[in-house]
Amino acid sequence: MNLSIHSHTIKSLFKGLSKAWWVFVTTFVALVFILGGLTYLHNQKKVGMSTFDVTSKVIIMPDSNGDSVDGPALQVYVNTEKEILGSEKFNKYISKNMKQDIHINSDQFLNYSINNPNGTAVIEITATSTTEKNASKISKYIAELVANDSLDVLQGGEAKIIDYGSKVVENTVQSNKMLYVFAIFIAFILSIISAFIKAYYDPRIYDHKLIVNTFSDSNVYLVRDKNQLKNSFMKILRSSIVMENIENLDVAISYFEKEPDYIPEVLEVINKMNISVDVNKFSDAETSLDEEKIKNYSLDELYTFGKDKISGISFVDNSIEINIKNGIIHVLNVHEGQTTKKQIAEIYDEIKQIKNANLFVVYFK
Amino acid sequence: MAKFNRIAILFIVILQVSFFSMMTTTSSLFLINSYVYKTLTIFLITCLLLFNLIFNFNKANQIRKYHFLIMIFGWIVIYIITMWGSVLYYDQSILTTIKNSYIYIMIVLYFLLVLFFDSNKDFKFILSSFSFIGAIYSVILIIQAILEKRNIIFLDFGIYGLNPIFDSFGPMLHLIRIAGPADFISFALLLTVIKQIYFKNKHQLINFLCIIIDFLYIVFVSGTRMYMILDFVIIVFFFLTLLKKRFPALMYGILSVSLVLSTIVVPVIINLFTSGERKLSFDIRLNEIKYYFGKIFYNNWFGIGFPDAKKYDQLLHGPNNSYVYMSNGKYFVEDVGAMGIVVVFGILGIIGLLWFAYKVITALIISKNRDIMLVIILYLLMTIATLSLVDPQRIFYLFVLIYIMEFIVKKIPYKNLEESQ
Repeated sequence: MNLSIHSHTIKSLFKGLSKAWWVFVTTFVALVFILGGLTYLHNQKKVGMSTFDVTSKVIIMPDSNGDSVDGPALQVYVNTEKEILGSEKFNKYISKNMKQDIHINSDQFLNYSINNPNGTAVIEITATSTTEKNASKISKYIAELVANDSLDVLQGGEAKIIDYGSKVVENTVQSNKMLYVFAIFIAFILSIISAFIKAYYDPRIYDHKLIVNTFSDSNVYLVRDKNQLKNSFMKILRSSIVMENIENLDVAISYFEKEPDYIPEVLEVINKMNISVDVNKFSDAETSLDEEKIKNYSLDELYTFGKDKISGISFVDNSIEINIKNGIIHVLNVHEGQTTKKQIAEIYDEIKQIKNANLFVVYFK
Repeated sequence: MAKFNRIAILFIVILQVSFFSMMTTTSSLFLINSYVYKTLTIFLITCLLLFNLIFNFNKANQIRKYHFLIMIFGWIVIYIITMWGSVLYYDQSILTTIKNSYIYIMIVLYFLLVLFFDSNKDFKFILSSFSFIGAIYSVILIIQAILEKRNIIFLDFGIYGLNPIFDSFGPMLHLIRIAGPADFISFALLLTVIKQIYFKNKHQLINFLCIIIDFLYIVFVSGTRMYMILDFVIIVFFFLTLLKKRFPALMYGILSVSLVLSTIVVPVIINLFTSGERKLSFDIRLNEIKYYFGKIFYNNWFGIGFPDAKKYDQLLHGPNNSYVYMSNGKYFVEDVGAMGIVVVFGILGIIGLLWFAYKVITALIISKNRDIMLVIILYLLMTIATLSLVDPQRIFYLFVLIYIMEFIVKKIPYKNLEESQ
């Protein structure tokens, strides 16, 4: 499987998420201010009062002679009534008359809704207003209108009031405190998501599974400290010597960080194993390492004709761009949280082109 | 664990068909699991996801490339922001807002399927379960529709159940009309086609049979014209993909002839929808679109949002002045297709839709299974006008479709494991 920026494991995403804590914090602070500010502005504008729902119920009968109508016909009748009472025209009619009849201005009158409990001939009229008194007045007024003016409103049927505004529900407005808590909660979730998106596009590698999967044919050594590192290099060198004899030994160690701090350990391993080979370093960076045993070359010399015979153990700098040394034994030093997927994908493509390449990967956790 | 997951997902899919409508749905059951209420489905999916994340983490923690993941997070952000706006603008409690928008939590289905059903075996299982359940349901419904003529009723025909229209219709047979399950069966037909295209020669005969049975139900029992056209187009497309492999020249020939024919057929189809007995519903649809179009910027930066359905009945379902035409002329956001999403989420909805379109197109470009991507795009395009995929009835299928696209976008065309080894 080719590695790309979109390759993830859940673990790598969560590790990336923990590294993106600063995105979380900055977004959270910013969003708390923005959302909190908007909530504050909203609260200032808000009328800030509770409303009351008062419900009256009317039972309607399609036929004034008392003949029973049932089934779909009744349902059609009830539905039609419901629609008539809910219509804009009826609404306008009430708004106009209410002023004279019960002295309520249309601006005090917020809303009313018509409901029909399933399967019944009952019509519920729920009025909503800022005071219980007004809501009750409106609800009763409409119920009376339906019951009394049945000729106009009821297509010839009859209506009886069965509940005269007894059900009162107070709708308390959301408390301001609650709105702020909610704004903070939303800010929290949105900042986690933004940190997650940052983690998704984080190019660095956080899970060795990505490496193990990409280089499924190679040995991957997981290394947590310098001792494990030495052990791994010892194993790598031992198998390299088995593959190529000591005179021809040519091992290219590719690294991606600016300055590898494990060169002394590798030299120690060479000493311990008692093998005499050249140790070379191909890099354009100014080296701070002052080791006599290391021969320094520029990266160009990797490609200079005639110099490609430089053998032994070579450290190759891949921090800026990918460079591959000739030879069939390659060691990749991957650092969790530093090496990027792009670097791995590029070097994977290069190494794939070398025939019989033997690859070892040292993964620093 | 894999077995447990499969049984659980099978149960969830069967829930979508209310256990083949065999048992009577009561009003309380209706609120838990029915055609329009998906509370139980969402609850089960969330539980299954959490359960798997705790006990089956290794399966989730595999290397994957996620094509839709960031878009899904974008959708979550859009949902949360609209929820916040609704709480502020309508002065309603957070709980009421969640109650009126819980259906979007179905997004967890994406995570469940993508994280825990990502092997070829699981993929095949999901496709097969839809395909078979759809076919079985079709057979049951066809038998019921025929037996209804002899007054034998064994399915749940209540108001909370299938609620059929006792009105004979159709060019022949004149069967009772049971429209509810058309969503599921049409979707099952699509998945059967996808299964056949992806897994090629496996169980070819069974797949063909399933497609035919599904289509018979859609044509003779469901009576939903949109689905008849949609499924017909999908089946034609499917046969073209079959021809393309064996007789490419013939395929292009048929394609060009049908293109010419479509110039004649399309006006006829449009006429079918806009005249005669359908004119009324078409007119209502036009008014509906006009009404909802005006509500796109209802709350400045978002549309209608999630107001309390009881309190804002008139806002949600129009001014109730359509009673002149028929006894129940309410408008429904679900009827205006993808515009419904824009009406609810406003400008954020447009962003969400464009994002989805972009992701689907890029999926088509990078995918090696173009035929499957094309058939999915065909389905999405044809449902965009009237059958919005974020309705309670269809949102489940939307995330299954995204899962399918997510699955095939990175896969090279399927090869039989025995062949490749």
